Amino acid sequence: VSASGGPAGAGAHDEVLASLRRLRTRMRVRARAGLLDELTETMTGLGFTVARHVEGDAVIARVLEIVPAGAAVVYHPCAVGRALGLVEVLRTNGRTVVVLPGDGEPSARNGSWREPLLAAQVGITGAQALVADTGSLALAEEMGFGRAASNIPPVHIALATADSVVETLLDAALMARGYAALHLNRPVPRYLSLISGPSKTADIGFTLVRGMHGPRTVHVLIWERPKAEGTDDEALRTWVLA
Amino acid sequence: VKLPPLRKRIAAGLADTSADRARRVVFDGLRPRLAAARPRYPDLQDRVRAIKMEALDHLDELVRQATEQLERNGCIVVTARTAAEARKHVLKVVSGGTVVKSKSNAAKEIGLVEALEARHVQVVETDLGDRINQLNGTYGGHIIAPAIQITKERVRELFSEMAGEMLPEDPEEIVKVAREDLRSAFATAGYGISGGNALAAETGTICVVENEGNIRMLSSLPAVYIAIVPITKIVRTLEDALTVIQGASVFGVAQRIGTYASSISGPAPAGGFGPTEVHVILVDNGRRRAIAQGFGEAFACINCGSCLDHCPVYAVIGDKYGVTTHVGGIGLLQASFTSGLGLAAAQGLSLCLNCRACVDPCPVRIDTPGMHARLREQLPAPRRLTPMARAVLNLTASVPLMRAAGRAMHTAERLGVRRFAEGLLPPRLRAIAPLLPPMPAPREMAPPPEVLEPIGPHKRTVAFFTGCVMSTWLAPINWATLRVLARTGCRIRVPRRQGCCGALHHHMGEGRRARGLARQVIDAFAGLDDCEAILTNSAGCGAAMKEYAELLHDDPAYAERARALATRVRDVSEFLAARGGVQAVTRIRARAVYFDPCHLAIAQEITKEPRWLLGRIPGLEMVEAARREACCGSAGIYNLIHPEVSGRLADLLVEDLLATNPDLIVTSNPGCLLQVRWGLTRAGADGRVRVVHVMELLDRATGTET
Repeated sequence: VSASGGPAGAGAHDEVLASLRRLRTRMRVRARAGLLDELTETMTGLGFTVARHVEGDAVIARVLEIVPAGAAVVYHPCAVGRALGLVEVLRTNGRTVVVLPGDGEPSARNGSWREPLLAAQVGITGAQALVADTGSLALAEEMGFGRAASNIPPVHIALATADSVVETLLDAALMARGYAALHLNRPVPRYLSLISGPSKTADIGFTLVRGMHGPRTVHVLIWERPKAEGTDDEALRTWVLA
Repeated sequence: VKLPPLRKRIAAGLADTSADRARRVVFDGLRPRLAAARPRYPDLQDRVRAIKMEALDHLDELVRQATEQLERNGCIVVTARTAAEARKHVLKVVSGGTVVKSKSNAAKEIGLVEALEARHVQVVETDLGDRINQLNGTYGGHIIAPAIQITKERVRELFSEMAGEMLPEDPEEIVKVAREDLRSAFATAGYGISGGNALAAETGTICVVENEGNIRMLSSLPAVYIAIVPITKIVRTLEDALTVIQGASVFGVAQRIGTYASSISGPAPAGGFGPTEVHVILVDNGRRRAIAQGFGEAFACINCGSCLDHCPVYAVIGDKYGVTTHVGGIGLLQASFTSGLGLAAAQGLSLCLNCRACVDPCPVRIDTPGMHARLREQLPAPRRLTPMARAVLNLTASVPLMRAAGRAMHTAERLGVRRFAEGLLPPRLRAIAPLLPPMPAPREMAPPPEVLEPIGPHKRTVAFFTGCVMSTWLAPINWATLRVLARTGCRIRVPRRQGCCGALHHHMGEGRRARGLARQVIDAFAGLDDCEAILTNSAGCGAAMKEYAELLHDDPAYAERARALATRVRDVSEFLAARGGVQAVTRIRARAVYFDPCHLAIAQEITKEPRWLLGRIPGLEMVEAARREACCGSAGIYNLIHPEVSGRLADLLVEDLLATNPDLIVTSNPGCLLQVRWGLTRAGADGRVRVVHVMELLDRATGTET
């Protein structure tokens, strides 16, 4: 992941890190026992479909279960997907996958991204943080493809690791700031999306209906992998949790 | 903004039973959820208020910083001083084609949709509620639930018409049709327009929250994204912005956070996905003026809509309380600055009940009723008060005059003339005539002695505030109260020349007169150092006197004395409960329902004490009513100014109370007592149930059987 660019400019890099350091002295993201269970309960209550797996293979099997054979998928690069080689597996198993550009991962593909996004049946993204208190997943990014992949297709799958669970929204904001400082050289990511359930409306007679504009179904797959194995975003977690 | 006269709008609001039904469905579902959502976040209200008030205090600095940072992020920023300027800026960017728009109170305020349509730009509302209104040809009727007044049957008709076939009743099916229809708009529109829930100055971040996903669509698919953000939405940091959004979610819709909270810091980078242009229109439109005039708090509002969900007036007339661009009491305050005081004055600046039902449910704890009272004070006298209101305020300001009027009416009643006279009144006045109680005998209206000795051993000394109505037209309640106090061992001092507490005058915008009356009360109770409390049996007076410190805060001669007096004021039920209650010796066999006056329950947070005292009366069976609205509609002289709204509230209350099948209706405020009697008359049930003050029952229970 590139640390260059961003409107803060090279000279402001220290300033960004300094402000983050100040923030870290005020707030400390703490892992707490039982947080993952609380998260699972809250997210389920909000209408997310949550699954937790210890084995990477089980995560992959679950994704294949959710994505129908022959379905068109847009994939936003993320740590879990990379660690599990998800794109290859999906393709091998007959799914059409369009890999969207991630932060610092430009795509060789030419042409517009609108058509594959509008045509996709499933969007797959990662999540930098999961918020136990509110049952939210946080998606921080520079490029904006994560927002699109998590909003335009009718089904969204978010892949996260168990150690990304934090307690509150403000903890998630700190994770996002950490991500921006370490990877984007900005004080905050260009886009931060906090997603707390499937799209919904109650505008017709106060009846709750899902899937108004965003996805009707959102799967959160949590990989409870053994510590320090697999994903490549250790720097962020090490830094924030230090 | 052009609107029909207020009287007509109120009548239309009251007559719209379909809207009433639709609102009630939402209230029934939402109110319990809102109450249940709060305890999880005990400090959220304080945090949100602190963030917003601090931001208002540093508005210029934050506007500067936000502008700088947004520009640094690649946004195009303009500050519009007026609505017209804001429209002009948008029209410079949008020259034709299609706009996909989200729900935005700021866009409504500046009349954006009308301006765009006049330029032949197609505007597609993408929030389902707003889309329903667009198809229905109506304005949104609520800050966050614009279709709150439209029944699901009507929604089905609208979308069936659009689809060209009769759709099934199922909301799921209607949503599918709406989704498909709006999808194509998102995919082809050149512009996306939203408001902004908050703007973080430090990083130049626009923060928006929603449940549907339409804002995410319109801020990522079209090439140009425009955010219309009032300057008072600016806060310091991203964390502050998220806290504000959480406040709006918890307090407004009982969610821990809205489904999508998006923070946007600039257009998409090269090779990214999102708008290539982001315009931020910062709107002043009277906000700095409001702050300069001491009404900035009205713009600390974070548009969660919770106040409307708890407002009795909104409950009965819906969006007719307010103007099209701004709904409800808070809306009228805002419109006074964005559209002018004249419009607000003509369109219901007199409609706030001052029941304070909106204050605690507000995530910013905005004092909307207090600001209404202050704003009314700024109106020229003829706009502020009707001739009848002026006459009543003159009357209550003078207790001797009240007494004289009471004696005259007593004589008229004895001669049978009162009924006859009422028959001659114009219909609107005749309708409220039952509010006048039957007058007590002249000897009862005579002032009590200056000192009343305890019955039995002397335990404590108190002072008693007699009030205007309570000391004259409802004097038997005062005598009952004095007897109860004497029986509990109180020596009671009743100073002369107390007068009226001034609550009615204060709320009607007669601030000068209210302050004069407050000084008179303070003078009358000066030097009663042996009294441990100043007691009142009128919830309205108690609430007003406890707020004297605020009322007289800038009067150097009285500020300190006002504060001292306010701390000594107690409602008589509050006092008796704290001193161990009463000795109830006489059985009262009856089924009684107590209802809370808003000035006692909300303003003074006294709900348990009267119930506890009544619960000690042998034989009395206490039942609780499930009340739909917090206020009976009496509200000082509100029932004389807006008898139609007030009457509807009285009807609701009486329905709720009668549902418990009581023999007695009990309360602790003169206005509420007269109001519920009026409601019973309106319901034709006045013979069935007696309405009494708590102290009248305690008087019977503590006296020996007669």
